[in-house]
Amino acid sequence: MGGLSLKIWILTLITFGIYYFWGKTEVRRRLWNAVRLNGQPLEYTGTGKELFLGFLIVTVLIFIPVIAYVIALQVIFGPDSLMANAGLIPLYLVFFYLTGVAIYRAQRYRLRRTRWRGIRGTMSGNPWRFGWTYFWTLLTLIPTLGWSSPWRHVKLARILTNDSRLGSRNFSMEASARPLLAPFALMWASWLLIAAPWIYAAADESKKSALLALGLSAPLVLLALVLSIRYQVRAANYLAGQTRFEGAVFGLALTIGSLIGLIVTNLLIAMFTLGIFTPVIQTRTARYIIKRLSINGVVNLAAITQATDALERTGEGLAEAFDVDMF
Amino acid sequence: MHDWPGTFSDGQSAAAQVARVRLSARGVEIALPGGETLLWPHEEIFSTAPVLAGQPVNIGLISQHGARLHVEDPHFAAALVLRAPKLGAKHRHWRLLKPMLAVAALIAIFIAVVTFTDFSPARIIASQIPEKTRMLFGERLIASMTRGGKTCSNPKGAQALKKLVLRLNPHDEHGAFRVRVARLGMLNAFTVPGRQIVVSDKLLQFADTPDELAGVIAHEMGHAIEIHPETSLVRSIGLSLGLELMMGGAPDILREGAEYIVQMSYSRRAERQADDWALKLLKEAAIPKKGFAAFFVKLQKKRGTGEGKLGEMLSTHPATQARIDHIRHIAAWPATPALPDKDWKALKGICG
Repeated sequence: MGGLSLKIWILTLITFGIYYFWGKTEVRRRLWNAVRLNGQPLEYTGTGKELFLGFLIVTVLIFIPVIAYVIALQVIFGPDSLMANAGLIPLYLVFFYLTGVAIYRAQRYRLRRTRWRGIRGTMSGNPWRFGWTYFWTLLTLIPTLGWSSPWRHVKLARILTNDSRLGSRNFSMEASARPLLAPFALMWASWLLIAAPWIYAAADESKKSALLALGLSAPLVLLALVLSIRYQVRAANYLAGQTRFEGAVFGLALTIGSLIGLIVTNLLIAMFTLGIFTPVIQTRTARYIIKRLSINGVVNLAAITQATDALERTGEGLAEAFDVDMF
Repeated sequence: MHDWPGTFSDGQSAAAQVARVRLSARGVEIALPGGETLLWPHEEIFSTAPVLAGQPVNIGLISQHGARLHVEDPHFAAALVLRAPKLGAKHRHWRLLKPMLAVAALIAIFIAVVTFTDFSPARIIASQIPEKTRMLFGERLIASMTRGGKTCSNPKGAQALKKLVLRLNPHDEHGAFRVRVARLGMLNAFTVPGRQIVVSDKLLQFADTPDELAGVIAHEMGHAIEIHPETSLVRSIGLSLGLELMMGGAPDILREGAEYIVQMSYSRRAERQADDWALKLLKEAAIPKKGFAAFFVKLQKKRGTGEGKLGEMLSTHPATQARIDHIRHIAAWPATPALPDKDWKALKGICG
């Protein structure tokens, strides 16, 4: 992967960035190929051209209108005017909504371009509806001071999993937020502990109390980060354990120490190679998860028949190309 | 003939059948348990992952969506690539590399064309912007530069300035120009979109005769006629601000645009075009060109002494010897001073 990383980096440079999409595709093909189920590999059938077209469409439909809108606001209302700034609010709202849509569409694109024994995956739901759920549940974080987060986490994961399919069959997840509450509370409390001296310092407005706040909160940040990782580990393990496919049950056994080790080493690699070794980091991350992921049970494979949704009929048109994890 | 054990799935379901696989000149032969034998011609076989020697092989048939053959035996890959070289890693790399190199070459040619010829996509876009939008954008830029749009407006001075502009462009032949003087804390003159020209108070004081000022204003009018500011802004917004937006965050277009305009340096070709316009306008107005050249010489001298923040004006409008020579080289025409003494005095006091 180190050699491939360098090759992708050089080709991306000399093609002024265009190769990026083909490089990403090549990395995915190798990653997928390295995953075995019942001794047979997964296959990634997406192409660089699709990703590139998706990028062009997003540029024309989203980025250029956004630039034009921002310029128009400033020109019509004047720079730094109240109206120009207020005009940005709908832009942010739309952006949050589209983030949800993009998450769903990216997962759908990847599933549709994934095959095992020739059977491909897909998603059966509606990305726009998911975008809406993503958006309004995001708003609940404000009045609940973040406490709706575990509930939101589980709700979104359930939609994404229950909509996922391999061929004709659904994945399923039954989960509640309750098992996540305790690790969440601990994480939440640790961040509050950090915020408290700052809130005091802001009210006091003296330099001394600001320095005191810095001294008090700095060591606590490490603790809070560890507790946040702990929450993520608990959530991932729990949600994977609640996932089923036909007769098979998934299991995930991440540990806090190993995940911290992975994050730190990945950060070091990214720093020392200036991001050129991103494919190496992706490979390490994939290997880390797959090593700890288990699937147990008997599945009637003959009952999983080929997916029959739109993809095969419409081919890989432009709408399909929009299915890109742009964000 | 050697045969390999393989796993075949038909693409209809995820069930798999054990198969015996053979390689022949015709293609890959797959013998299924039921007695049926499939033939996959070499040229119709594909693999999404590269077929590497010593690795398991997973192949499909282009015409048959979803059917897959998996062979675990590490020797199969090399034998297959021998028969179907296009599946090998080398061929695969080259197949991808070729279009990418073509793209790189195309982009390089495009950049060369834009750099070395008059073809300018930014100019084409700029020329499509409606007049009203240009004016509004220019107004906002000036407001952003002058902190609230305060320009000098002593009535007698403004009257004199109007007279000078009218003389350079008597019947709005090249569209209506709006020329203003503002305290900018620097020695500069620039043009913003919508044929709007701003001359700094310092530049006004630096000019010794109305002819010098007329030369500078005529030069800026040349930039305006050639829509240089619009073109340059489109280019800068297209490149740097677009990039910034993709990185996240809404750019402060006006502030950056204002900074950009003040520091902007046009290409040599653009400066030459503006100079040619300046000479044309001066000649039509019967204003001596001597002042225009003299102003550049004075700036050059001032740069030599390294006085104050003088680099600014020069980096914006590099008054190279070649440009001065070009102005001097042209034959003089019958002319009268740009403004009578009385008006020139009033104009100098426009910020008073």
